[in-house]
Amino acid sequence: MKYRVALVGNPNVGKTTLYNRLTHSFEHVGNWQGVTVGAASKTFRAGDDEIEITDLPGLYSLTVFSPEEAATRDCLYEGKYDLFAVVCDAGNLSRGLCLTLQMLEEGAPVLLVANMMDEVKRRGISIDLGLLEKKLRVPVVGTAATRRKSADELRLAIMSALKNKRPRERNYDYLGGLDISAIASELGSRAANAGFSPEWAAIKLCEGDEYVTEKLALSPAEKKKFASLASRREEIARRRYAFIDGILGEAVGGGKRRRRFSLGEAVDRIVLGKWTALPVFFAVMGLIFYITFALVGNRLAAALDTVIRKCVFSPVTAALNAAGAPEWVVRLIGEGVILGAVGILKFLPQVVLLFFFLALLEDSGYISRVAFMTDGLFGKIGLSGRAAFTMLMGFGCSATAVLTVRGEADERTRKKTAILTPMLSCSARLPVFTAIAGAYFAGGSAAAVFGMYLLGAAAAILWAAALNKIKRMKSGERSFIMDVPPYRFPTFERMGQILIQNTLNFLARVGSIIFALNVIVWILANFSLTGGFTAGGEESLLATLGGLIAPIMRPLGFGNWRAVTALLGGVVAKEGVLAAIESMGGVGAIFTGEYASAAALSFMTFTLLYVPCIATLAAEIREAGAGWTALGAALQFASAYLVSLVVYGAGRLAIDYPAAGVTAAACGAVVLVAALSLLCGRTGCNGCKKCRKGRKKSQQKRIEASNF
Amino acid sequence: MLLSDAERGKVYVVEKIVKNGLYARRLTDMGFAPGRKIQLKRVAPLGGTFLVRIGGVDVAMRRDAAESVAVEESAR
Repeated sequence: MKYRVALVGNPNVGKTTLYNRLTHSFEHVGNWQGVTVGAASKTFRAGDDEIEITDLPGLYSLTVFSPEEAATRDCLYEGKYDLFAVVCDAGNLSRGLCLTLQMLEEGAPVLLVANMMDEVKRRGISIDLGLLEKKLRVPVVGTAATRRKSADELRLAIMSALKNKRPRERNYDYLGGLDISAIASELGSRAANAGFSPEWAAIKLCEGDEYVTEKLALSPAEKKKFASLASRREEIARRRYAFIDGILGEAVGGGKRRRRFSLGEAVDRIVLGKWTALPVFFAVMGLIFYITFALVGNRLAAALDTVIRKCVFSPVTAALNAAGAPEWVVRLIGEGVILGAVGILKFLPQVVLLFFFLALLEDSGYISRVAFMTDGLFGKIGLSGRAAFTMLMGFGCSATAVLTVRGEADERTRKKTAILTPMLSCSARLPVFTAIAGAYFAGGSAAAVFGMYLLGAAAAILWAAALNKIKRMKSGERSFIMDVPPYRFPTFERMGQILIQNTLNFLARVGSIIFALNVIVWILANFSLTGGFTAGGEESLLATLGGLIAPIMRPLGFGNWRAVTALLGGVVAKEGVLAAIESMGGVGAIFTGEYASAAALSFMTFTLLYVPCIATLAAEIREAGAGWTALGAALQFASAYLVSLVVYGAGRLAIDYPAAGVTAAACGAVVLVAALSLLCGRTGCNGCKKCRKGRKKSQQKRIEASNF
Repeated sequence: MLLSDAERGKVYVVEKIVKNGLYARRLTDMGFAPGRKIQLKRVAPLGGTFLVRIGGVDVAMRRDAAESVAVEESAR
């Protein structure tokens, strides 16, 4: 028999961790809501049966809020699943049970999974799962997704729930006195036509669920009749929670009710403290960058570089020469493949470390606290605290970060976050910065790299503020509500997984896309259409093609075909910028002359900001549509060109007259701050009630606010 | 009394959600149901956002969301 089982539940209860356990997968997990944005499925065999497990994005209620939740709701209504494993956080059962009750009201086959039992046990709380099973009349299993043997227990529970199917019975006695059955009988055929049970349709009507109401295709008269029902929403919620709290009062026991000291609270007092929060944030980010670049990254990178050059490059080229291979073959393999790959490969430790720290931010729960404390700022520029998740993830990989916008409810906020996130420096741009800065700013290379990160963040924030001033792009008056999970410590197993997974991903990228790009770039850079092999000469195909575009870049200081080629390669994948540079003779061949360091800094700026890579563009199109994506790319290119122009100009000035350069940099900073404060400030009347216009405005605001 | 005016650290009980609309419904779904205990834990350092504890979980919410929850003093 083939069965289909879906994992559903509130956000951040460990569905994906359970899924990974059950199916031996490595889907992305983290300690914040909305990590999983799309469904993932895998099949496993149990005896003669095949079971397809699907991991769905989390949701709070069957009356949905954001697109990711809608996807999960649709899976429920499609009715193609034999079982829904409703995963709950055992430490917070009431909210999970509220969703479970809704599933049961709908009539879905449910297995209740009380996850994180280990955390509960540690807090000295006991949960009588047998009693829950009896009261709710559903099978219940307790798991701890971080423990391996939980997978077996869950697998057994799923099998037994599938085999001993209980008759579908709807249990909503707690909604008694709300005329559910009376409304249901009135809805009768309408509900059946829409594919709902009448009782379920009646409940959803009372809750004012727009999706179900629309599906019912009510006549205007009926709509009017039922419209008043929606006011019962709160009463239904109250009844459900009263019912649940009643059960939990019996089933949950123990627990040190009021502990004098809680570590989490103490940490929060500092991490979220009024005066300490921002310093802690900058210290954490600074420490991450310091360890990634200075302490570990750079040294390991240098060591790796030497090892690969000595142990791979020299022997291979020597062997090829000895075997009498033609010069172009030796150089293709030596420069194009090996040196191009080395240019990227030596940054493996840095990139993996960066991803490791980002994963720690996610898993510990700190990232949710960052969202909480930055929401005030993000709110002013038309984004929400959720953007903090997306943008911090953007330091890892822009393409995957863009997908996390799906949990944002407001459409414009969502789209703006999607197109602005790629301005933040992703891990693939990091090698470019480090390599160039290392060659041209020996002493201040760390400052130059860190400056790029700040510049990227500043550009994203400035553009968000600017876009919010445009009427058609202003964010809706939407609020921000988000769970802040407790601090959690990743297991050693999980830390190992993060390191191994990211290493493998990185190697796979270098081995496939970067490798292919390098070979193509090297061949195009060393052959001409007519003359064959030209040995990196100025007549090669790329020199001709790149030479056409190069003049555009001349004002920025890097108007040569090699720089243009590297940037074009970067559109495929950002690592391609450096890989291409390395296979065309290294950074030294690109930035030459008196103002080389100014050109290098300008090139770094341009690489930071110009267009996103293809994978990111695809992700943006998915989340924000082609129009917004085009706008985002245009904004990025324009900012890249302008900022690079300024950087190059200021750089030249600084080289010619050091004092003037410092003044110019200071002026730039002042202009930046002024622009930001101008854009963040309120304009026009705010409804202060001091004049007639203000009173009118404040009245209007009050009306708007009542429809919160 | 609105949650946004609540005293920090004191335990209240949710009375009702005073507004209608999508976010008000979200609040109900996240456990802000009448009769449940609620506590205002802290305000964000940059202001404008509140951290609230309800039913054993911490929820961050912007001022306008906190203004839509009416609370009353807990009997106990």
